[in-house]
Amino acid sequence: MIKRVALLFSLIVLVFGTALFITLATPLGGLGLDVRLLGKLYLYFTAHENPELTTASREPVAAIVWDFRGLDTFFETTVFVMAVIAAYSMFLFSFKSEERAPGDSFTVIPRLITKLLLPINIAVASSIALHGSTSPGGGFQAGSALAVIGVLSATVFSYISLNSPRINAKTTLALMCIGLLGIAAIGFYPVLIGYLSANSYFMQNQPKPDSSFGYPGEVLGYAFGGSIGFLNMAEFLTISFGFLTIFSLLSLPERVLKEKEEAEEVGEF
Amino acid sequence: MIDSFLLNYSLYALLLIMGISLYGVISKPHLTKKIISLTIFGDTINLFAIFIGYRLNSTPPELDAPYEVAHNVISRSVDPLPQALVLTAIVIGLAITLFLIFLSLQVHRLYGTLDMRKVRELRE
Repeated sequence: MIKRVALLFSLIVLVFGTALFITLATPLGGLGLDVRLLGKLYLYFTAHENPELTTASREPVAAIVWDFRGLDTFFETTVFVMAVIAAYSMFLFSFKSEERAPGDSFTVIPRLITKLLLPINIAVASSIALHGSTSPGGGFQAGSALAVIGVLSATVFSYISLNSPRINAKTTLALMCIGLLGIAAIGFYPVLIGYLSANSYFMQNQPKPDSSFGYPGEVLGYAFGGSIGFLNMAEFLTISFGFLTIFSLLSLPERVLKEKEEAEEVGEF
Repeated sequence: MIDSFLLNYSLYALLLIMGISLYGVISKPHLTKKIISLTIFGDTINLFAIFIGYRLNSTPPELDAPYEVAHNVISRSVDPLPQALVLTAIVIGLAITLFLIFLSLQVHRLYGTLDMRKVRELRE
């Protein structure tokens, strides 16, 4: 008891000491007064008149995430997909035959409302992904918005809706890999063009002084962002199906897991 | 004056939540409670990083006019760089949480319980 009180007290003292230090550390510049030069430079170069210095997108956060620090996002997607694969490898069962258990779903009203909400969710999530270069949004947020579909259908329509012979963890994993191939293709396509005709770099967005290759910066009068727009769409596919894989694996109830473990021990896989 | 007081106050509140969630990670014996405290800790640190880029009396980092970077936007907007880095940090925190949840599922399969004191007894 005394040990816990001492631990809590020491943590609170440490927290307030750090807060005092931050407040009194005026050589660091204080908070809320001015923005660092690096942030100002990123804002300046996001939408420049010179077509060799611009990123063709009107949203500085999207330009930083996908163009200036695009390699960071590349490897962050790798980390997320590794987590999904690690989760998938713990559930190596076959989903060939599943019967619908009786009495496992709600009444008519929640089911009907959920059926109306699913396409609306898809539309809203797609719009968040597509306008990622003109206002806050982008691939990650759209993928998370679409993941709500997994939670809703697993809750209202029971776990069978995400573990049936046609829609299960394997198919959502395959669709996630298609999104990943899209990201890799968008990154490596300039390298292919570089071998064939002009000089260009890996994950290049707009034309540079020594290479003339560039993705379309404007589509139908709206700022598209070049590779930023395409990468947003591919990342939307990847993240949304990664989340659906996770939810279809996590929605299996315990009795089904126990049956499948016993079947695995007996020998039928 | 009130703006800077509110900024300092929210900073102190975030640091207090960091201390409490760190205490929760260390001293709760159940594995799920540890994971919840770790998630709160990570989210609070992400919020702290966004706060560092805040500027008083500012506008969001958006460029409205087509390809016309007004000097106003640069001199009055918040810093976009911490927001972009926090996007990556949130996804990595999510991946770590997923990994921990599936590890705890495996611990439950092997030992039948998630209370770390009982797992320690069962291991000997």
